[in-house]
Amino acid sequence: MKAWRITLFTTVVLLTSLLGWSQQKRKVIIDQDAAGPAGTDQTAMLLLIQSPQTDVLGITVVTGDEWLNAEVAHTLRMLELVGRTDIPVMRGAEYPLIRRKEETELWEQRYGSVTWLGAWTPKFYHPPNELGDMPEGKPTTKAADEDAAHFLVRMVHQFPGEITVYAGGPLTNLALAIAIDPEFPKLARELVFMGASLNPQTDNPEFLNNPRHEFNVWFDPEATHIVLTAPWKRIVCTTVDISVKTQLTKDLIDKVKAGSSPSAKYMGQYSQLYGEYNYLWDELAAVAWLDPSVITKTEKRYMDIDIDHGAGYGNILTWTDPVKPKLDVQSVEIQVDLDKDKFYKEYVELLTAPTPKKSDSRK
Amino acid sequence: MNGSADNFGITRRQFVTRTAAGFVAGTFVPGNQTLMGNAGSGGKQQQRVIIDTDPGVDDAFALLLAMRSPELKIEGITPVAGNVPLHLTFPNALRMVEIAGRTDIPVAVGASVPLVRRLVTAEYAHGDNGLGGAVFPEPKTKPVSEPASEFIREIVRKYPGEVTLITLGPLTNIATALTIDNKLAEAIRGVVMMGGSLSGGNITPAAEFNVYVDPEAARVVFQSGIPIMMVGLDVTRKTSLTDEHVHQLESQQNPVSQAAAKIGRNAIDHNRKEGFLVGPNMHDSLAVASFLDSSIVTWAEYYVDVETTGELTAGETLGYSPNAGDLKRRPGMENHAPSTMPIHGSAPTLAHTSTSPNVREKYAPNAKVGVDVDSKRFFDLLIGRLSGKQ
Repeated sequence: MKAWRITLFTTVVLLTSLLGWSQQKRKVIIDQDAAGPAGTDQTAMLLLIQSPQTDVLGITVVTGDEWLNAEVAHTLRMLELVGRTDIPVMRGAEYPLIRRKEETELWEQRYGSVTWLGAWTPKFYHPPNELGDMPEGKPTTKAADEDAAHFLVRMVHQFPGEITVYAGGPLTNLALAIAIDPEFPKLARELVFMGASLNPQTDNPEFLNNPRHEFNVWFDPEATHIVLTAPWKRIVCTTVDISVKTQLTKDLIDKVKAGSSPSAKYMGQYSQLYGEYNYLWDELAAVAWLDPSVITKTEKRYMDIDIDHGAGYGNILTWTDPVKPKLDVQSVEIQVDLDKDKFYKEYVELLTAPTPKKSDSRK
Repeated sequence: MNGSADNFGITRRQFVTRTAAGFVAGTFVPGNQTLMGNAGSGGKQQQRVIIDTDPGVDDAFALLLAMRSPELKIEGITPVAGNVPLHLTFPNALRMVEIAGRTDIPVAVGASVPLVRRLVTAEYAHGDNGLGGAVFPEPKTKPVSEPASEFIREIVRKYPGEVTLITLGPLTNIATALTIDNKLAEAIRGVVMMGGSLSGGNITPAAEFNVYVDPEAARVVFQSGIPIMMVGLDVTRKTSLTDEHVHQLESQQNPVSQAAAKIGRNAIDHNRKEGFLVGPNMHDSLAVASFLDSSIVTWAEYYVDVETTGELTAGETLGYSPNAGDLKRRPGMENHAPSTMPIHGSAPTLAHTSTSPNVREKYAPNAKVGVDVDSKRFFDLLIGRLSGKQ
């Protein structure tokens, strides 16, 4: 009897919240290291834009997988191609707070090569003011005048408690927003980020020797420390551990390609497989936020990062309740396992659907 | 430049070019080219400055000195957490503005915590209220709406190449502005910094307080490529405030002199109570004074970087002068030293940074460091201006 009542109650709550969603769109700011075209960064953004649930208030770009200028260009062009140039794109940090390329190169001489250096990866390197290859064409639209950090601060004050900050890259912009306004994390609804690596089960050399190394948090360790020790109401983290359970395949690309929407065309034309590991890093973080039921298991950890400039600079640190430090650390909801079929299905559905029109809450 | 004296002695471009070409330490010490001389000769353009500060006993003196100096066009004051928390440094800054009758100067609220670390304060030196216990009324003036980092950026962008930042506290606000806008450094004329030390610290054996509180921010500033004049403990240790100075201030019946006397008296008493043998050093006032008249301080060129990791040395400023002393080389060969030096330990991260597009020789000087001070001339200037005699 009691159990039945609880079930009924849960159903009512669920229904109410679902109805609530359909009336009020979920406000999100996308903070992304937006390499492109397609690829994990642009695709994750596109998934969030494609969902009828969301009101994407803006995209704040940060150097990470690519340099800022190139990323801004790829993002503007993607928005042009799917017809959502109403979404403002803000330029964020061009460099991490403290980490420098030269320091990193010397670090590598002593402690070994880093597989992925993002914009600094020698194989793809170009100067920060150049755009690199843009097969999708150059954008005609421009980034907003406002910078990323101030946009983030302004928005959470305009919609206190309503905005999800989705972060798919290094956390420099968020750290700067916190530096400007310590209230920023408190005024956001939650932080959802792809980053960190705990103990991924993979033979990928990027993680085999140092399972605690993950690019997004590693690229700007000081920013990560600032963000992870800030007073967010909720932090949700998609780690490498769950990313490596996903895979972009030719079959998946073909399914998207079969669609006729602008986003399906964009994805079909520019999606590529690289090497043997094609994880859906940021895509999973995005879809799991849109539909939490994609995630079948989570765990709570406390999280910080090593900011000593030694061998472990940029390695993630975690604790469980009984052993956590006395100071600063925040509880993080870590995604552990997923319903893969559901994830791939929603991935294809979202990317092949028509792109929703502009939302009203933005002025 | 219009032939006018520049307190940095050289333009930014010259600084970079000549640094790259290699120069002998001391070549660019400004010598007799002082702003005071110019201002005295009538009608010369005022120097635009922003004062970033954490008042603070010596900050209060420095602010009053700056506001009594006609050579300066103070575009704004940006309080930051440091000597005491922001909720004290910020009203203290407003109090100084009101005492000096300079409520025309915008005050923009800065960072309440350092970039990466927890805040460390120094009530032991500045009293619980930051003014040695000297009590002044609650300020009525309001700050501008922009945060300090944005305010700094706006002013610098409005007057590119004209604004000097006089920094008297931890460098959090400056580093934030430089990181948000990574081309901003090019538009800043210079930084005159009270901070650092090449001869041991005060808050720890290694570190001077301002740099210790936010070493990461200090590192961003030292690597920014902005010409820096570092007024560290090496010289500010020689600027102890005495009873005689306070008597001189007390004898003059004007609000600034009386307020400075009150803070000075309280601070000296506070120091005595804490067991210190000398009065508080006028660290920050020396930074302002050295900008007004750079010949008060003797300068030497150094490559300066900040230790951000050290077990015992976090916040230490390290100065290296590859072209001085027994490392000195003949002209044209100066840069041999850094390029052939085996590199271990900390990486030389100066070469190409977020805030400087200029690729420079590793270990090339990035700062003029004050190595000696004419204390008498400094106090003549400080007390003269505060008392209204000068």
